[in-house]
Amino acid sequence: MLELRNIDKVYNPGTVREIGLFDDFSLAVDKGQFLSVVGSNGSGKTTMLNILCGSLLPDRGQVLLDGQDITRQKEHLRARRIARIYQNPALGTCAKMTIRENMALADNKRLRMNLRPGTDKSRVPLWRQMLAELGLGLENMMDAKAGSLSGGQRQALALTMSRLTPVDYLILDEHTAALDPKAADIIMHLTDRMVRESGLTAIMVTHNLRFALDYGDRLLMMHQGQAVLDVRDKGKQRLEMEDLLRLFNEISVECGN
Amino acid sequence: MLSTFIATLPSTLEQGLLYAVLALGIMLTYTILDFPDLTVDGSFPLGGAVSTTLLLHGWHPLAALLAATLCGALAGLCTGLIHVKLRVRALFSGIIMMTALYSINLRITGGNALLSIPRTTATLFRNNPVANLLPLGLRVLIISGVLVLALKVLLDLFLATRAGYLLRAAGDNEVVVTSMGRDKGNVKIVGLTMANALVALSGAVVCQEQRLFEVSMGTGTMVLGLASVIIGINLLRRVDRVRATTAVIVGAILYKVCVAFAIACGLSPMDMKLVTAALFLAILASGTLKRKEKADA
Repeated sequence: MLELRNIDKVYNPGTVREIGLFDDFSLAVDKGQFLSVVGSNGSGKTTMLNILCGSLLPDRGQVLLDGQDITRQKEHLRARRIARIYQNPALGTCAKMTIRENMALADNKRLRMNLRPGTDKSRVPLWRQMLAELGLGLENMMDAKAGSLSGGQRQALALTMSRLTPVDYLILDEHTAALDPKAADIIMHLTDRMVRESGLTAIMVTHNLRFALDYGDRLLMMHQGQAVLDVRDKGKQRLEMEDLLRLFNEISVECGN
Repeated sequence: MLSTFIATLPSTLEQGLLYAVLALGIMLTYTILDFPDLTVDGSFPLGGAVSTTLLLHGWHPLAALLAATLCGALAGLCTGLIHVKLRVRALFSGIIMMTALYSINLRITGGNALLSIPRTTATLFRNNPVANLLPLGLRVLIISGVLVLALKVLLDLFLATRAGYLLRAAGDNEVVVTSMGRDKGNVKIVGLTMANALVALSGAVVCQEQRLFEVSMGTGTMVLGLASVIIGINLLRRVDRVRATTAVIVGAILYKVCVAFAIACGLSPMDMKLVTAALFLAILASGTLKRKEKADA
């Protein structure tokens, strides 16, 4: 279980630009749950992810992972259990390294980073098979540099790399926002399959209301640091696009968007 | 003019190989780690100071080289710690260490700005059993060639290990290093330590060859090494299957060839830093102009 307890977060405290974002915000995501989070700009979605992943410290409150307090744990240590896919496809892979080397790097995550060969040749068939499942032809271009791939291909590679690593939690930070609609559909489909097959607990922040509605078993709509809508399972299945849009427009109008 | 140039070609090649070790170190920080490390202006003479002083105290040439390498590693470690733990900008961390090392180097030599090694002293290149077997004219070429080749192979092997992959990732995309559950700061510290060890080794070897240490020999080391790295990598970029290490060694030799050519054209050694600066500017500018052409096309 991933838990935020009584989180406070204020930006630029003590200045004229002071913005109180979170005031006693709490959220609990059950094991195996796939949570979609939508909300207007500045609603606190990304701040929430940054606090979860450790790139931002809350002013008050706790972050708990399977009951363990990780509020002050360093980002790279949390990354051993939490994988994160970014909006910018360039952030998930090493551009100057080949697809094979990127996969090797991810496969080494569970091992000691010592002087053994970086690429374990006996694992290559597995990597090729995992890449083949994407249906993007990446398995036939193992020696291509990741930087030469399209945004969709790079995002697919980043997803596959996180599949290789031993994590239980997956954080998706608007990971389809920078892709064209077709690539976004492919990546979303892959994400869903990966979460289901590996039994991951996932939190997906998205601007795409359709994705939020179609995927995942819980939906959260955020506004000014609060959850204005929180539906799950049956309740979420009953939720219609029109209801979601109406609510989203209400909060957007309120913000002057 | 051309005849002097050709006559000095063998010694130019020697110089190129001696400085190739330096270029390999700079490749590690600049190309692989993406860190502009000015420490090298201090760690290059540091290697020279340590090795020369120890030779004069009767140390074995190889032991002196090893000690110089370790001191260089320590200097790189300090730069890394300053940058990572105290969060000082990359450029400033290097400048701080470079400045400190100037005094430290003088302390090591006992206040002597100039140290010379007598002809009778055993160095890597003379008065030792291996060197004595080699023909006099080819000693430096063969020994420095073997050294550079050995270091190149070691570096290639290292870059293909798990730790090597992580180092390359750190220069490529720090976010990935964090995603792999590793502290990117520690990876940088390791890279800087290794690079400055190589640079100090290069300084030690150069001093053993010229049998002279001079406290200001480090000025311009960074630019010189960087010029070698960029020449090599830009020239051989289009050639398939050439490793960066090979390209950098070729670059170091070509750089010395350019300098020798400038001297043959009548420039004095006094003008060398000017030539280095002009050459470096020319390389960088040509890269920019090429990119512009591409963009316009």
